[in-house]
Amino acid sequence: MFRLALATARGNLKKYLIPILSLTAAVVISNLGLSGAALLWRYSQYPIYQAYGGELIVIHSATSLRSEKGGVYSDEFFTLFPSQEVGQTVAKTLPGAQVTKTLFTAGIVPYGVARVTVWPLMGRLDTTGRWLYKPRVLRGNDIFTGQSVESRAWGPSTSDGRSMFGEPGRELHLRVAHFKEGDQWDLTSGQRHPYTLEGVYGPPYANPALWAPLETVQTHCGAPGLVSWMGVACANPLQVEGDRDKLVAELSARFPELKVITAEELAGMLVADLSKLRETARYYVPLMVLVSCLTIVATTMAISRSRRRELALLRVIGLSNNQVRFLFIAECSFIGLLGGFLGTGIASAVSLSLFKASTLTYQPFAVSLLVSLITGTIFSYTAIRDATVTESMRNP
Amino acid sequence: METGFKLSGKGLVKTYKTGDATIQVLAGATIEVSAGEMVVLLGPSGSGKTTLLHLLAGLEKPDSGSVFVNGTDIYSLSDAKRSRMRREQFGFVFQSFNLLSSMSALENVQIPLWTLGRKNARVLAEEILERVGLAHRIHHRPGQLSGGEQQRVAIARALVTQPKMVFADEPTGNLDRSSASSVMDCLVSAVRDSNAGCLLVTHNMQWAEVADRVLYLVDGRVEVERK
Repeated sequence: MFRLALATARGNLKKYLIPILSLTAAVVISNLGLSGAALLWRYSQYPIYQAYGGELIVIHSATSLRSEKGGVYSDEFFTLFPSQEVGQTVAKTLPGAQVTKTLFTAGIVPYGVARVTVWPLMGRLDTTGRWLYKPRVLRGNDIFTGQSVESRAWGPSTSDGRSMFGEPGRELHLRVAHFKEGDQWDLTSGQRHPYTLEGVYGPPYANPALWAPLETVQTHCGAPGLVSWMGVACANPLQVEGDRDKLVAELSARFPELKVITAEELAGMLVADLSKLRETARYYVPLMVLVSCLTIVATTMAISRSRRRELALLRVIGLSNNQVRFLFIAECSFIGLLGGFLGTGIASAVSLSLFKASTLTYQPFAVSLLVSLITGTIFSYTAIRDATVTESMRNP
Repeated sequence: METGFKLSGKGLVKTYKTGDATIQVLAGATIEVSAGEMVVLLGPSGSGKTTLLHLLAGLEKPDSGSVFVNGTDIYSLSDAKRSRMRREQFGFVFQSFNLLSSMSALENVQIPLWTLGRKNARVLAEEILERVGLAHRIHHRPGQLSGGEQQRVAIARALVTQPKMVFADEPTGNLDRSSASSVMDCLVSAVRDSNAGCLLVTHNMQWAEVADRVLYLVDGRVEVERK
């Protein structure tokens, strides 16, 4: 039966060209529309996703500051971001999701009348355990033009040589560190790593890539100062909102100070058009799938009629109704698979070519296969009814 | 003559409805064909020859009457079992050849073997195509073959499984006189060689001479029989 199915499918390939191409186009457009055009374009245009490390961002905000020993502190800041607990919650709540980064942003703390103290941006990759050694601090005059900015910051080291952003529960001993461009800080294991002073959170000309997101996060958190966050890469980028809701439900009871926002929300605040693009994709993708389905149904109907004699002959030769149905359904599945594979392959190539990344989804493929299967099943019944067998085999 | 296989139809009645009109095509036809026997069924167009053939082949259920293969009522069998019986024991040759246009001659002949799961399908198909004189045309598609050649492919397809019974429905109806004679020789020779029974349905009296028995279908009954 397999060889017969293969031979008939191959023989009828030309007849199925239209539905195959239609499916291919639908899968390509659906993929690009759903996951490619919207997501990849957004990610490629804005480094938010990369900067924050995932579709979801768990934010720990600090809003209360206090003054002590000549410095300004944030109580929340000294309460470590519960990265371990949040990581466990993510693992439990969102199967397949991955915590990518735990970041501690630079904080701009007013210090005196005309001075600020700058917290460096630093963090670590949770997946590897390595620290991110590119802390970025302000070049003083970039922030408040015309004001004096002290290029002094709290050094991120502890008395035992580990980072103050170390494991929860570890006693921290902060010390003031003076640094300038080219300085090195001892973070872990006695290794020294050079700092590069960059104008990160200054005006757009300083570094437009990271200038805006901090403000956005601060706006979200209502925190003008310190913000810490954890990036979570979701298993399915198209179900981010659902994942966020689940995570919020889990976290809200234990960590009310944490907020969960999506990278898209951040991006949306920067470029409102992104949302429009996404919305548009949501409308035209189902439309494309619908049009493709109609094409498949119409073509399959036409093919089933044109092949009545062929199917009848197979019945005469000795195939049972179920075997002929199997052939018909196998052919339609073949169409769905071929269209799905072609479409996914082309979509992948286009995504890689245009966006330097590929975020494919299984939905268009699954829909194409499902529609082909259902259509094949329905028309296999109408095409090979017993009555048509004898009618078809009568001499013309 | 082999006596191990016997096909018989008893009291076969078949009626068709066309709008308000009811046409009784068969009115109690009875017929019997054994292995190794060539039976020619003659009758004018519209006399019910093809209908009788379909009933005997298990393709269409009679309104009343029964069809037996070696004593088993084939319409008491399930569709799957009846199909299997058709697959293993029957071969068909039609007036309009009924080859699959998308496949080569070789593939067309292999179809019944594929359905039977034969592993040496290609070898068997090549052998029988050589026997019907088409060794040089096996990779041609039906559209590239003449009518006579197409019918030879159909004969090869009908006999490649070594069936016990071959049904031939006006096998020369679409052929010119020269091709018809050649194809009929091919069919008769192939059927005789395989020792299968054959029911040849035609309105052409010319083919009566190849028969062991000749039957006439008149008014829905097999009324006249002569050697």
